[in-house]
Amino acid sequence: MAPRSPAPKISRWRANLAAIPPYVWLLLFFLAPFLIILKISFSEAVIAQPPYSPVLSLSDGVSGLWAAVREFTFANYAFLAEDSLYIRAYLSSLTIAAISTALTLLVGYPIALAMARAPHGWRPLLVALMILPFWTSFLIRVYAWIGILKRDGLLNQVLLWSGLISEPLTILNTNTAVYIGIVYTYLPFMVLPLYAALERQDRALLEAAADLGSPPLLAFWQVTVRLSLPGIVAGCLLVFIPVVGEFVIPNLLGGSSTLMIGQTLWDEFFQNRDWPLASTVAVLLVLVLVVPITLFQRIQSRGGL
Amino acid sequence: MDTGEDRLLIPPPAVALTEPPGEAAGDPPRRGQQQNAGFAPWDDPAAVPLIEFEGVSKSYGETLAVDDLSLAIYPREFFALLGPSGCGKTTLMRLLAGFETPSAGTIRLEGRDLGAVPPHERPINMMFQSYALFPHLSVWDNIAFGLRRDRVAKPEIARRVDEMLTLVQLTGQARRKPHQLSGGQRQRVALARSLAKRPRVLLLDEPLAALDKKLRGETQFELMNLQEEVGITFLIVTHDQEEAMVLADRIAIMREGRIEQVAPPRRLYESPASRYVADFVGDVNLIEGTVTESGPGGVRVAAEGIGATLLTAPSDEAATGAPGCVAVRPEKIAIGPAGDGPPPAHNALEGVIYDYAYLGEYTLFRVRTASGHLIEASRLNRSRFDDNPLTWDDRVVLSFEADDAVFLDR
Ligand SMILES: Nc1ncnc2c1ncn2[C@@H]1O[C@H](COP(=O)(O)OP(=O)(O)OP(=O)(O)O)[C@@H](O)[C@H]1O
Ligand SMILES: [Mg+2]
Repeated sequence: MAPRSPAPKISRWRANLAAIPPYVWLLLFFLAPFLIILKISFSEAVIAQPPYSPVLSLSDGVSGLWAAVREFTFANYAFLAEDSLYIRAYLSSLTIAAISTALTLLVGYPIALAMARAPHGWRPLLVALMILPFWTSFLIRVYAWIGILKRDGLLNQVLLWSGLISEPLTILNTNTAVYIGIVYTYLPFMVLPLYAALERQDRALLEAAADLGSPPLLAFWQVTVRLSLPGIVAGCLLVFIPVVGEFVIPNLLGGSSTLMIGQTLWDEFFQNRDWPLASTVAVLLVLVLVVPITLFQRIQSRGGL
Repeated sequence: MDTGEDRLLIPPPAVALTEPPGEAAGDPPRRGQQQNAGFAPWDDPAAVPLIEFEGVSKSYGETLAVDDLSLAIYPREFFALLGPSGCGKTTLMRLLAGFETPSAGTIRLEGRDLGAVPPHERPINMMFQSYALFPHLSVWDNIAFGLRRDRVAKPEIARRVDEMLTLVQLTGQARRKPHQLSGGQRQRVALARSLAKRPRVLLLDEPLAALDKKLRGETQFELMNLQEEVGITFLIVTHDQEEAMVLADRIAIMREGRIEQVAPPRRLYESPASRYVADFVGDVNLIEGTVTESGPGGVRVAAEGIGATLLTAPSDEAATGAPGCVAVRPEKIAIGPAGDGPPPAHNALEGVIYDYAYLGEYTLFRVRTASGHLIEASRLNRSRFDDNPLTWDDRVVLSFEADDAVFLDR
């Protein structure tokens, strides 16, 4: 290294320094817990405290660790593969998540568009209204939906009174109720990134498309939708990922036929106290979710959006 | 290109003073010559306008951006809009392109009311002042956008896009995205995109503002060529008077949503209709006074302020006793040392040189009269040497021909 050119090196080092906090965050709050869960998934369930074996203990030194590692087993993974319940639960979760993400997008896009096209002064208020529901407990809001959707609930009363139906609808404890609950709960997560993408769009671009011969609907598709694609992807991921592992909404609003991996996970942990199997379910869930995220990252870094 | 470009760089006053743009051998034809050669449909009562604005107004709440404006633009015309910022030039274009609906009045294209025609069906393309390039599309795809809508065959699209890229000298940047271009390059993409469709009418909102002088000259030239080849009617907004004069068959001077005067460059410069126009286009001396005599021989004006009687070219607007002003351009005023032979018979003003600036092609003098008025006079530097140099505080006599001054009543 020439003695006269240390400056670029230092500045590059500084730049790297700035990237450290997010990595520390990931390490502490994602990677470390994940490794613990991963380790437990290779263990065997026992009736003890903690309820699995082997237990890693740093006091036994490297040889002790190695002895424990040699006891690791893939039995839990084999079990998951054999029992179709788990595979069905995964598939059903993914399906429900996909459908409800699509529904949320369908409902959220017009809302975000209306917000982005609203007069400048109104927009902060509209954003505030969008996140207002977060001020009350999520559980209470889901319970409120029970009151609305049940057989003699608000919705059925209104529909009966208006004469649209003559028999009360059964919505509560069906997948429909789950979809309603999910769309309602996750709507802000869809609307906010969409709004961010739509709001900074230059309105002159729509005019340019029209000027060059695109009728309004085509121009909307070519410009507005196309340029909001990053927002669409971000919103869909923000909804899809948590919904796959959703537990509360299917539990409270869904019926016996609603099968989601979050419930399965809960049952294994708290009903059966089979921590290793529950950990295995969780590890596989992470893997299932990592795939779409990595895909998204790929597309984005290639500048495709 | 060389000779043509040199001429573009000469400021209008100098051109007007000495000679009309010369005819160097082997020069490509220029619009300016055509216009002298009789392209003047606006003077022909039988000519049918392509675009007609009839009593068009556009208000945004309190602001009246366009105010009861009527205007006719003829096929193949190169029409320039000139005016201060905020006078409604962009609004006028947006009305024509269909992005705004008039609050009152009608706009017609080839006699057809455009009122119910949506923008995408108007055979009009616009180059936006903000460029409005599609950020997700490459330069190539931006230019091809309009052609794809027209269902032009693929090889033809490729040919036209490449032609446009060559025109705006961006062949090497075809694959880039707009954000990877410089401001001037973006402007050229916007220009190419609006030109690619070869519309009946092309609206250019300050199309060359971000280009350097050389490229601007070349692009101006290409615009003129293109118009001759394809027969597009151009409506161009510019802040550059020189550009308007070089390009346009007629220039409209806008002021607060109205049109102050529409005329070919020469008439606009030499026979302005108002003080506003005279002042807006080029430099001018405005000397206030009262008409004492008016006839076919000219207008005699008593300029009380400056203490002189001035004679101007004849004017229909001058009524004896009416107030008005004498407008005379600096290059029309001869300047010479005082006491150098007998003073001119009329239109002579004495003063001292208050200030002067050597500007290369000409020298600009500011002369203070006994009344305290400042009069500008310019002298072309025909020789490399200044034979009788004038400098600060020299006593001088200013004079001008009656025909070189105009009387303005508003
Ligand atoms: N969308 C709008 N809402 C309110 N007022 C507007 C709008 N567009 C233009 N105006 C007003 O109308 C007037 C004319 O604007 P316009 O954009 O036509 O000016 P311009 O002549 O193009 O100016 P510049 O040379 O600066 O581009 C201005 O006073 C402007 O503030
Ligand atoms: Mg403008």
